[in-house]
Amino acid sequence: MTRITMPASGPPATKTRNSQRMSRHDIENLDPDTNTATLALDAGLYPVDVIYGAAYALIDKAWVLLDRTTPEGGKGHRFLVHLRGKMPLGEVGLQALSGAFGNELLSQALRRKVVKQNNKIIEEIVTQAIAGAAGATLPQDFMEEDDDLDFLDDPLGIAVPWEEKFKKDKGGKQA
Amino acid sequence: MQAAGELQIDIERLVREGVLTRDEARALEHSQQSDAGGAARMEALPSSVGADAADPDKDAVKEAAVKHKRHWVRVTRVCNQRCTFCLDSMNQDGSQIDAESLKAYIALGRKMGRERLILSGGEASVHPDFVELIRYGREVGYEWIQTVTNGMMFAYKGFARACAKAGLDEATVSMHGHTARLQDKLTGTPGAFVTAVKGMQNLMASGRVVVNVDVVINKQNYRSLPEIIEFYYNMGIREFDLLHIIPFGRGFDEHRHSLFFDLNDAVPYFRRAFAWADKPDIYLWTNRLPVPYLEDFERLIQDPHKLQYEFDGGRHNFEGFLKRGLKPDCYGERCDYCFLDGACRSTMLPYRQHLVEHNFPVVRLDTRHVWPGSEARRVFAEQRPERLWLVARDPADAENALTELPFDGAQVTVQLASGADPTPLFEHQRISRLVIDDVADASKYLVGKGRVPAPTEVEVLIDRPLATWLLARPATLRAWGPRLIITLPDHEYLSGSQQSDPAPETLARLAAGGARLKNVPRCVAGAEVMAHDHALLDAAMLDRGGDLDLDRYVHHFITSEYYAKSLRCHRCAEFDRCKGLHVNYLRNHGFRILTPLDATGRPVAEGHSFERVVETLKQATEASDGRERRRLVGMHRPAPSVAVALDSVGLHRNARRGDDAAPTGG
Repeated sequence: MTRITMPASGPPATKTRNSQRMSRHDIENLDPDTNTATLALDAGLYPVDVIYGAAYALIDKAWVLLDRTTPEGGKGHRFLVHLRGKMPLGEVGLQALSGAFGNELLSQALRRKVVKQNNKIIEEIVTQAIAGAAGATLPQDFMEEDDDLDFLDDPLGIAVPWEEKFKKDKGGKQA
Repeated sequence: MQAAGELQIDIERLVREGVLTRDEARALEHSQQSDAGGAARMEALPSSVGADAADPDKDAVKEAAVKHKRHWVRVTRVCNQRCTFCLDSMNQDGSQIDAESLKAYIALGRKMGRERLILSGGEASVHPDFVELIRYGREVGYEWIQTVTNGMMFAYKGFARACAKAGLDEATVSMHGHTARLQDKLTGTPGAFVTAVKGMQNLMASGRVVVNVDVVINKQNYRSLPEIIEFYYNMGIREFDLLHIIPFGRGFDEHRHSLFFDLNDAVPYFRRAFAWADKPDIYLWTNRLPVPYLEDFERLIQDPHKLQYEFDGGRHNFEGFLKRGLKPDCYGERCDYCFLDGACRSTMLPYRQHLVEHNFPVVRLDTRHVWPGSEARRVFAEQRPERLWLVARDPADAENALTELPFDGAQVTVQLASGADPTPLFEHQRISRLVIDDVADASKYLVGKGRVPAPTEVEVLIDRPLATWLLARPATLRAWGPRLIITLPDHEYLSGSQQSDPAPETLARLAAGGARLKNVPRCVAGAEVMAHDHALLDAAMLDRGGDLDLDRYVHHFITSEYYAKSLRCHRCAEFDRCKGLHVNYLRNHGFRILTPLDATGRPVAEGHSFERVVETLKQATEASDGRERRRLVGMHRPAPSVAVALDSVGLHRNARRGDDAAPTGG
């Protein structure tokens, strides 16, 4: 793998440009000549496994190197993501690649949240799948279990209409 | 009060109580929901219903499912997902329909003789009385109770168990991805995948609920289609319905460019997915997929009766056009992306045009026909056809009909009841053709003393016994020459084609013997052929006001106009003149029997390379500039600007290819 080395912090190189600010992360450097972009992410906002996931999702398009830096003053730290396109991208292409990485971060963060929320169900699915494969779960077992009327109270909120559960109200808050 | 069959049904009340939309109510009035497949969605078929479970013939099992009489009941107008391609969003207002109204409608279905109850929504399972509705369906005697669901509510074990105990037989779960990421994205609902998978597991664990999967094929998932099937197969699912995205609802209005995809690009993925149908324990259905893209997998072409359901879904649109000439409100740009184009824009619109301009080229009248009103009779009599096809009991009956409805100037074809002696008709100047359809009549009127005299032609509606009889008499074939027309009849069901149709090679041998073939492409006949009876007005298609009746039109389309061609046919010099073959003949014999011809009638080089044609069409789309490419992606048949690329692979065809080209599939 070809790796590019860029300064972990400090002023951009002569040919690089400071790009426009993106939501919650910066494009630190964007250099069409070397086909690279460097993003800086607040480590408090994105867990490292979310960043790994987002980086992995882009490996068909770019070489990716992760780094970490502590800003001047020593408070907190940031992750640096160095992206180098596998194909010549130009400035617009690099911006798009950075944007795609940003979207992927959000997607990975959401997936992490969903997994956390549904952890119990996921564990049950896996258990049931393994038990089923071993022939342990027979239909009559399931049907003969005690009636569980939890669903009447809908503790997981499954029956809640989508609009009620997810749609933002006019103020932009979750309903 | 409106009548539907023998029952008195209060349609207005059903609409008022929110049980039916206006279109659904009109469909009920016409009683098409269950008859002959009618409005039924055909995706769900447990192998134990409607056919012999031991029957290894999947075609027979599927056809039995199509004929199974279904009663669709929408139980909610609310959903807990927000699918990007939802077709029902306009019907959802967040309300639940009153359980008592639903029960009354469920009971009505039984009174109408329907055997399968299908509970749908919105999302049916979020109705607070869902379990009770299942129980009630069982109580009033449905053979089979099915729900179409997103599966999430069944993640509650207790709910899945309660539904199973109440009598749920089948759950068709809409799963559009094999990963949480894909499913959650397409349904707009975080957690949809894991919850639904849990729900499916619970239902399967019940041991009594058949679980199958619906997949809406779109740009986000078409490359994953084989893996989607594999994933759910490994979960134990054995039945899949693959639904192609269509240009309605929010799928076209809001997400068109993220959902519609180039079918030519999808072919390799489709073929890997369709190959799952070869497994003996898998039932694969396709839905709304453009027919030519099922080359080599023709048995997966959906039963044509599914069209009735599609038309039922927009009755006000189609009836508004047939009765008042108002073009459907979806008419326009969407047509290029619409599965119904062949039945709607390409056929229904010209049919009405012919009707109002009185210029149907062929009209057919059965003398037993009971006119629904004098207006229908007047409209029919106003036509100025080139040919009248008269179905009569005997010569006297035919003469009477010609006296009453003379259709001056039209040539007359007469088809008499089997055994009736047509001899008196041969003196009638205008009767130029006699139709026969069995070996007994062929023995009488093609040979011997009863031989039909010149110049009267004989049109044989060919089947396998007749083909055998004719091929055994080459001298008769030669003697009759072009006066003998051999017509390949259309069959409403695949089984009809399987039982009766002669093989393509047989048709070619008949043509080589000297007969003229009709309803058969030139490439199959290996000789010049007669044009189809394109645009035929059957008196039975008219309603009492003299307009085309929607249901009868759709039935006529299915039985007589639902023809298709291979994508390879775009390479053929005959493309604009040829209509292809009836869809059931193609389902039986496959597209490979169609061979592109050059201007001299010889097969073109690499004429059979479907893969190459698809690749060429794909590349032509990709080579278009940005705006044009976005327009082309998702079209259900190659646009003229793309089809011309086929010239680069050694084609010989007509330069002209406009909007009036024959449809390549419904």
